[in-house]
Amino acid sequence: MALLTPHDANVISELVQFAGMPEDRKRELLAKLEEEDARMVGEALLDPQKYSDATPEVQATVDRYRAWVENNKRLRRQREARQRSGRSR
Amino acid sequence: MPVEPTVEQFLAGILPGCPDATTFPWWPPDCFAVCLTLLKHTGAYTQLLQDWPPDRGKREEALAHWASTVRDVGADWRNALRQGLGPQFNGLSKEWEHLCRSFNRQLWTVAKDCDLLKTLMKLVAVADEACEGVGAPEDTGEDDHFLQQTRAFLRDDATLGVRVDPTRVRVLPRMHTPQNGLTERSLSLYLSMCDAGEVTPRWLSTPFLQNDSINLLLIPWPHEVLVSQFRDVTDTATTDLPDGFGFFTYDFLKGDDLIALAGPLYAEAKRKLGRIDGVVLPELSITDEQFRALRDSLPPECFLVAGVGRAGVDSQRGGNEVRLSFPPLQEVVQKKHHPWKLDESQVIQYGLGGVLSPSREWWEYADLTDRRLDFIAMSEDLVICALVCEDLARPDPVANMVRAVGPNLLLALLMDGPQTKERWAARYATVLADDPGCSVLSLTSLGMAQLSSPEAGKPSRSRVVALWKDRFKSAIEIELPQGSDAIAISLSTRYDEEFTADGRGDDINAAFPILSGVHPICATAGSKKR
Repeated sequence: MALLTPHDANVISELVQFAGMPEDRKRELLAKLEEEDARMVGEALLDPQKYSDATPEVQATVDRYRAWVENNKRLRRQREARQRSGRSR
Repeated sequence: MPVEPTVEQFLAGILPGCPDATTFPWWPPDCFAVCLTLLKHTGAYTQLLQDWPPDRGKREEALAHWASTVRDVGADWRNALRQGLGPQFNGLSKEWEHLCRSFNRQLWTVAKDCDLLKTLMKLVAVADEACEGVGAPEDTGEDDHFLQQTRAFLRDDATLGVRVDPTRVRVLPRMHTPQNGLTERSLSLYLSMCDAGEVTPRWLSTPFLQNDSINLLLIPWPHEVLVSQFRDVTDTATTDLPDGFGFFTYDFLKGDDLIALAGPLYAEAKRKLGRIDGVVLPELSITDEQFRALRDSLPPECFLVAGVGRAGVDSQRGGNEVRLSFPPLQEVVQKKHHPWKLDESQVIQYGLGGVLSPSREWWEYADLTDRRLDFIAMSEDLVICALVCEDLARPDPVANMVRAVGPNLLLALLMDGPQTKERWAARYATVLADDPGCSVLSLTSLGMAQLSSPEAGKPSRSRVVALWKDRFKSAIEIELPQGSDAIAISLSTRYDEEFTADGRGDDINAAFPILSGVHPICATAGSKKR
């Protein structure tokens, strides 16, 4: 797994969390990445071709972030269900 | 006689440019900080809450009306922010104007004006509601301007505030609201405010895949601590001490026993529980070299939190820090904040009299500069932070920040005696479980627990190496059975509703890790069974 600095990890988190943001803002975020590994992870997240060409370490990091997004969606659904039940009491 | 400042003068210190800025602070954390600072400084919230909610008596279900009104205005504000339209939000302009009209009043008069207090409370509450979920690495899948900006501010400035002076006040996310007592911390669910002191917080995000439970492997390493590992370094230290005081350092034993042990322990714990999410080791349990070897031996999806140390050499101070490794986040280092002081009773308790005279008081000779506190946001249910030994006990400079944020899980890495319910760690864990509501795990080494002599007439509890405390149950001692090398624990999440003092609830979304399994782990057990 490619390791990311705290700064770069937070930037990558933003990239995957707000997938609906406009392309220019995604590029702005990519430009904030400081380390080469992080830039490769960021590019691979956004571009399937770059993902295919990436090293296994970079791919593993990208896979991890994608799995995290799905995990967070599951947690969010659970939370919304709790909110509904809480508000209906 | 000192002149009492006006509201305007007071706020000018918090919100630079305030005297000219009668425009509404449309960024919720700024509004929250300004108004909460006023309520806190004057202590007026205690007055206000004696006759609460507003319009009580005129309206049935006044409290529910207050909560739903505040929530609705907060949702409107959040919607505007999400679309990048924060400056256009005018749902609180009347309230802000009311506050602005008080700018020329003396500060002390604020507490006497009930209407102004209600206004301040409403501004605080609505700003709080508008910030739901700011601490969680939540996936909206949307182009959410507001959450993106909060992430950026936390990342770059370690505060959610924009206009509030970060050298005075920091605004951070909040995971827990105290349900006992009455302080300014009782007034919000999602935002916290702390004085900007000498500790720099870091809010870090890592892609942790949270299951319904978290399984941790606790390795109470080292299994043996020798008296000879404690060494007097007073003469070589760069700081002079008065008579009666000395400096000590702690030497690490050479050898890779731990690395040889850790692999089978991890394998056996995984065999028993199916999955291990994290490994935790106590204070000063390993060296930098061992940490790296251990990290390399674990799969990347398993996090590692360990107390890493370095002995003082000649005039160079030793190191005592917690390393937090949550791949793909690079490991982060948080140094211990307070030195350990061994007094006569502790020298005797640990039997160190052969190397450290009980007639002196001994300070830990360690580098304690660069004070940070790392919050690892792993999911919307789980923010972790770690403290090293003494830092758990001292209210300054770090505990107030811990209380403000209320991380879901606090790991206390100790170099201490047995973790029994009667000892100091349990007391401080209980305090944090009560306010703000953290679940606390303390862990010491078997070596230190065994070095500690039991009190006269009491049986030895030297295999109680860990202690668990959460809001719901009394402290639970975790004992390492004879023949076992480590303990695997399971943590499940319990959800409960937390309320602010003004009566707003969080719809059962406060997450509490609770202890749901304890399993002794023996390094050789798996191989025998296999």
